[in-house]
Amino acid sequence: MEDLKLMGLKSHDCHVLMQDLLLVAIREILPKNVRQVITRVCLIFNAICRKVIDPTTLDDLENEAIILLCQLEMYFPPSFFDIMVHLIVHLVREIRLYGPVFLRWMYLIE
Amino acid sequence: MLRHAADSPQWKKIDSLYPEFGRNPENLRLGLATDGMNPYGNLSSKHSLWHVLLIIYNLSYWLCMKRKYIMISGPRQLGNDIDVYLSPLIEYLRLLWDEGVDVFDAYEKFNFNLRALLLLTINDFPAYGNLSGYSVKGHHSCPICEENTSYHQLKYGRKTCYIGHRKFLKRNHPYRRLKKAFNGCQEDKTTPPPLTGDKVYNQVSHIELTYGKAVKHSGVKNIWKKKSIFFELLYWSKLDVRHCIDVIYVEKNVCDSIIRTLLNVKGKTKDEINARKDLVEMGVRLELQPHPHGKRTYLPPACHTLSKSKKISFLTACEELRYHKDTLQISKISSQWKI
Repeated sequence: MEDLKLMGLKSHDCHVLMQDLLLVAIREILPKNVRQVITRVCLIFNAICRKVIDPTTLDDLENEAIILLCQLEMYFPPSFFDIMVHLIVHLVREIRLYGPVFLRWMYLIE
Repeated sequence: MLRHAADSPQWKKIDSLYPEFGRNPENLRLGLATDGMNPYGNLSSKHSLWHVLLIIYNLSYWLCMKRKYIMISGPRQLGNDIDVYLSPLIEYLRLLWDEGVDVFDAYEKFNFNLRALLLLTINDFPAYGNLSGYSVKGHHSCPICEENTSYHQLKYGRKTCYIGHRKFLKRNHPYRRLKKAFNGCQEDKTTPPPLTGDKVYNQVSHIELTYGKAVKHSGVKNIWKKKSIFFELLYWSKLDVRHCIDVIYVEKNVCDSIIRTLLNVKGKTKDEINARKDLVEMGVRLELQPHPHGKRTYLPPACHTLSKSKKISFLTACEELRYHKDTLQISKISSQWKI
């Protein structure tokens, strides 16, 4: 707490942070536009990780992901955009072709 | 509704491409998950261990994720040489596809011919590069956009960043016409078409590579480093997505970047003096440019900068929420992370 850091996050910790905690933790402390963008990031990952997905909503989800990336570009510095951030665009395509992601993740190993 | 891989278009496409394979529900469809790990933790980085897991997608989803596995271990990072270690497995997979093996059905008491198809591989991003043979470093590092990856080389940050996502937007979206908020110009590029398996096969089929350390690179630069060993499976180029990216890996990296930038962790944050200089270089958001103040430089706060009291409130919120989650047991969180 003294040096204001969040240390030693494992991938599942990040998963939980993204899915639930971050949404609540950023309330009241950020300006409205940035808060909305980060909330959107969380919601996108939440939607991607669902176990049952309605294929008709996938188009909307894909558009949402693109708009989200554009908004991130508006507020965050360019060095924020490494290849990982870019890959969000393509995640929805994989769901469309292969079904929900929980069949494809590697928790047990990690 | 998409509940299982069996509901997916890819599954149905295989059924229509190979009807005699698709008709028989006993034929297996496999997924291959692989990742490098270190058997000694942080103690020694000399050895690397690669586990290769096969997941049977025919099973219903609660059985799907229980799997059998084999391990590959090597003295150093394998890189592209992983194909050599995978070749026995591929040989078996070929046998399972071309002829099939006779298997005894213990329930019905008869022998039947079992065939199998490798549906996809799951890996994190560096392993993606090793398995597919695409070079995931450098300017065109997105293996799905390939040559159409839009990148920008940062002069001060000395990094490549991948901006320009506006080209994926619809033609008439208002964001395309904004200049100041983005990189200073309007966007008129269109969404690149996705890369098909046949196209990849055409590009890689002529590449010849000798494995091992002592390889001299030829002068011709190619973003594809090798013809992946999976192309020995005859159906491989017919699949739409051959290698899947592990969503958790992406999620972790995005989460890390956001949190480090918000908390402004020294050395890890994406928003430091070089990033501000790059903004000036690009000619956008000039109000954020650094001001020299004698010996020190003053960085004006950006819209995502948190003051100290706000950081504290953020961290306390995280900790309290974690505590509540633990008591409610909604989800298991390891207690290793510190605040």
